[in-house]
Amino acid sequence: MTRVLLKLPWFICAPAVVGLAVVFAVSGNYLLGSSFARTFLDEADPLAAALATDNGEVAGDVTEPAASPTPTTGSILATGEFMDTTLYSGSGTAKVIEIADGSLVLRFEDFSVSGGPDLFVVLSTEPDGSGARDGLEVDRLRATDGNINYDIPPGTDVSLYNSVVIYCRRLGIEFSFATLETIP
Amino acid sequence: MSGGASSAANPLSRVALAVPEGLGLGLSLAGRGTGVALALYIAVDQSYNRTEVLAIGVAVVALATLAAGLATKSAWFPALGGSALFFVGALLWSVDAGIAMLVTGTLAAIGTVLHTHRAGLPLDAPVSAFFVGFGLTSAGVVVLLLLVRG
Repeated sequence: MTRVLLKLPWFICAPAVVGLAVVFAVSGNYLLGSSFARTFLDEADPLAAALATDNGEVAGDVTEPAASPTPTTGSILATGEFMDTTLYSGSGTAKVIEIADGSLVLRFEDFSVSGGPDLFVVLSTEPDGSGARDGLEVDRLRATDGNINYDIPPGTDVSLYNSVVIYCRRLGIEFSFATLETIP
Repeated sequence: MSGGASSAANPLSRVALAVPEGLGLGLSLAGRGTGVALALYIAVDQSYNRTEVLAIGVAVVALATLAAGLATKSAWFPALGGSALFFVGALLWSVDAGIAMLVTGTLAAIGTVLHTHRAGLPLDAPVSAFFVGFGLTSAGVVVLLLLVRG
């Protein structure tokens, strides 16, 4: 290929070589770059934020979760721990939280997952994280590490779902999952 | 770009012949040397396993091409080192030092081409090595993703 390229006139050869290098670099970054990228997000616990708002504090100033949220601010419906899969790591806690106004939040705490392309947060009916392809897509993964809140679509019956999955849609692979256990 | 009889009509060739002698070699060496330093910095600075292994891997490759340059005058190894830094820098674009690594790889590759052209040698070796570097980097990264848990 190179010999053919170098036999072309310079005004074709030079842009072709530079163009190929750029195309290879961009495509490599697009396909594999996210496997090496880390992103961090630290969002307040919605229960603590709701409690602080009830007490007249500014929600954004709250950094520590409430010690024991009262039922009036909301409750934790289910929780689970993220686990590794064959090739990828995951850790942290997933919580399904119902806020007092009835809205549902999926919160990740001390969360960390392997980087990858096209990652989504999915609720699956299967407890082992399988079936994510047909699960409820909550949102695109917003960060690989941290404490992160995701709004669950209104009207969702969360009792139907038994796991939270970090799912790579491009490759069709589960990166990590947390089996949800209902809090009585 | 191509050497030989067409060089006189090629403005890139004229530019290459007009720059101070030694600039190409200097760029090639400095680019790879700085790239090695950046890769080691990334390996120390980042706590993510895969990034650490990738950074150490490219540092070893670039360092090996610097050492190989002492044993052979072929442009193949310097271009390969520049290529590895360029493509790994593109992968580590999310890290500031990764962008800098891409720049050092670019400078090393340009320096190698300049040096080769000034020496009157064909550009087949550095250009081929640059693209072979892409293949080797891609293969290495896939192996790394399979072997090293993120």
